[in-house]
Amino acid sequence: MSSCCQRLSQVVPLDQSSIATMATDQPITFSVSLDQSHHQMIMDERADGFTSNHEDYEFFQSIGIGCYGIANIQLSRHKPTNRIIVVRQFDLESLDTDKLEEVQNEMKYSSLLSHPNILSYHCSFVSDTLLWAIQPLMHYGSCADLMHSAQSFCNGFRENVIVLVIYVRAKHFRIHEGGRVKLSGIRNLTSTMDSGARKRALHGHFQSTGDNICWLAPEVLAQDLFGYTYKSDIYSIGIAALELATGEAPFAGLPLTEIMMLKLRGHPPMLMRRHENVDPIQDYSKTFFKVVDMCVDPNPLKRPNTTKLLSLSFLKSSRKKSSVIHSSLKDLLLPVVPLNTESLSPPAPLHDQPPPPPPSNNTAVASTPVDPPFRALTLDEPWLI
Amino acid sequence: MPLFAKVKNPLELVKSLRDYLLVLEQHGSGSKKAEKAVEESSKILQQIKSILYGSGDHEPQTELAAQLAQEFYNFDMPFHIIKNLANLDFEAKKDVAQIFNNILRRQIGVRSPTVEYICTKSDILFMLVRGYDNPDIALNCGVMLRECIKHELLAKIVLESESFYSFYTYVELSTFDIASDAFSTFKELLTRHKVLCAQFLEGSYDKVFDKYHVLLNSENYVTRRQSLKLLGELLLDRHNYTVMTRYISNPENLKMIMNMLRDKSRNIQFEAFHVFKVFVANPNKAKPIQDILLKNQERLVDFLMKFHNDRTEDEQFNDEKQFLIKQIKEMSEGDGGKVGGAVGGATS
Repeated sequence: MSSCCQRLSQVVPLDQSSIATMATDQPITFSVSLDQSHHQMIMDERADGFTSNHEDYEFFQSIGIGCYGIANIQLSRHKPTNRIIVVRQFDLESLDTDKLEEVQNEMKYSSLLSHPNILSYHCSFVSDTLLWAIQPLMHYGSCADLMHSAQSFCNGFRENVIVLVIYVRAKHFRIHEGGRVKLSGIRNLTSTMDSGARKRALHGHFQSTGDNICWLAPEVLAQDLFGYTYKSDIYSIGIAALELATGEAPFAGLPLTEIMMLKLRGHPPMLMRRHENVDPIQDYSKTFFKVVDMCVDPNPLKRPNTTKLLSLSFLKSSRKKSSVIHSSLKDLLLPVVPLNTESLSPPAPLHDQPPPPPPSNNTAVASTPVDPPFRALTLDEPWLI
Repeated sequence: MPLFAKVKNPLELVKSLRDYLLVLEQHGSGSKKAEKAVEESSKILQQIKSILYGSGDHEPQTELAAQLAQEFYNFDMPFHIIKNLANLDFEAKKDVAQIFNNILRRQIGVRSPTVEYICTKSDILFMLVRGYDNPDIALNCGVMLRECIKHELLAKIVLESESFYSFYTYVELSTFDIASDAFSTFKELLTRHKVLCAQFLEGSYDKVFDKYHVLLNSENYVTRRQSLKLLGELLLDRHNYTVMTRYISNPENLKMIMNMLRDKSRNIQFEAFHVFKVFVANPNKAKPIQDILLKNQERLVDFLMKFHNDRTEDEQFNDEKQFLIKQIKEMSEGDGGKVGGAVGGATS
């Protein structure tokens, strides 16, 4: 499984109009104000009394690895509030200065973002050389996990699911118990606001470009004087839709340089099935292909903007009352069921035994954090000082 | 902003914003009145923001923006808005930061009117620094403060005030995001304006470095790692020559750095190396420094021979390491440490 720190989106300014471009159920207008009650909810979620003391957290089991393979993701309980959450432990010692800075930015951006469809951190603190970042538990995990582990989705999701989930990249779509889809991977955010001015276009590569090349728009790879804008994110949405439909991003598996050349030459991504005996066309409507085609147009000017995209009938269903969507997404994901935390909480008070692992999860159990690999020092005698 | 709603002019906007902020100040949070004020100020801030930044494909309206800035000074808005920042709602706080930064970059010819304004109202800067005390506004204040200290005049005010020293506390805060943000501001203050920084470090040497040693010995791994790296950068900056000379003639500093060479963290060892090399490369070593190095001559050579040998790709590091080994090997009693001369990449 690739690392979890892939690109979310390169052109997401930290202002609300841009957040609206990522929302699944927000109407898109200029500078739209987000629903106040949402904010309240998020603020409550944030001001939630999560403590910066590692002793307040109890691990159940490791449920994944993220961020260049150095973040150990632990299913945990916050003892003072008895809530089940996820602790991401970053081993900072194995990060060089640039990547450390990236992680620092992720935590900062996370605190500056508050949106029901963005997975942000409750809090983060350092203990020894580990950074502990506390996140809400996403009961279904990421869409990529679902496609990789659940039999029913190994060929991708059906169109109606994609409509509900459609944002940027399967790896970063996480599904909450209630069926709310949240976006993770804030590390690679870029602000279009700089020193009190709004940048019209962005330039520059990101550290993770290599890992994310499948999702990057041609103009991002071209790195020319024109730079790129939020339209590059629309391209990524198109690719993500294809990824969700097939279980694999277009171009995946090809050598990096080849992907780059294909994209720069304007080669359109294609719908490919992982298992070739299934006809890719039959499950998806013409509209689906039309929308995806528009999104992945090599010319950014021809791609729809977010307003246009959301006005398409294809996506209209996702703008209905959010509760309806969320319950229906839950049904659509059957037979996969959310991670059951009932059996975890509270752990047996009298016996000091770890609680049984949840039935729906079959990932490897590794409950003790691995010590960071320190190189043994060669000189044992102290300095003469 | 609704497209067809009546657009208020800058004076009206600023006036009503001030009124709502006054309500907030008087009523605190929680009351009905305060709630309304929070809501209304959010709306006004959005309108102000779209005047300054434009919205969607619309370019900002230069004339309105100029008027707006003028009203901001007239009504002391930067001051009031930051004073009440904690009472505003989540998005409004971000809007405030963006509005503030936009007004700050305003220029008329070679003048920066907002910078001049803040110079006369230095409380604004101190309020921003204190913002790190409050987790709800810390990052927003950080965004504004870093923008302020890009201007030398404003950086000077902060450096020369007592409030600079509160950064030593902020960078060690247990909340990682805020501590990280505070550290980047701290670093910016100490490195951005070379001449100013050098003067400051020289003038306040004792106080700055006494406290700095607390950071280097912090229990917080990130604080230790970052402050050690910054120390290396400060010492190797040629503007800080005087400070560097002073620092590397103190044997206590050498002892600490030598111990850090053997820290359990490889990153800390590596950063310590970049400070240690300055001590060794110095052609005019003070007697106590020389003594310590001589006393450990063999050990140091042995240690450096095995030090981070897997870093084969870092050519500069390997050259520097070889240089240090040579320097230490060639040291002998009574030569005053005057060996070698040019310091490879060590001072680049």
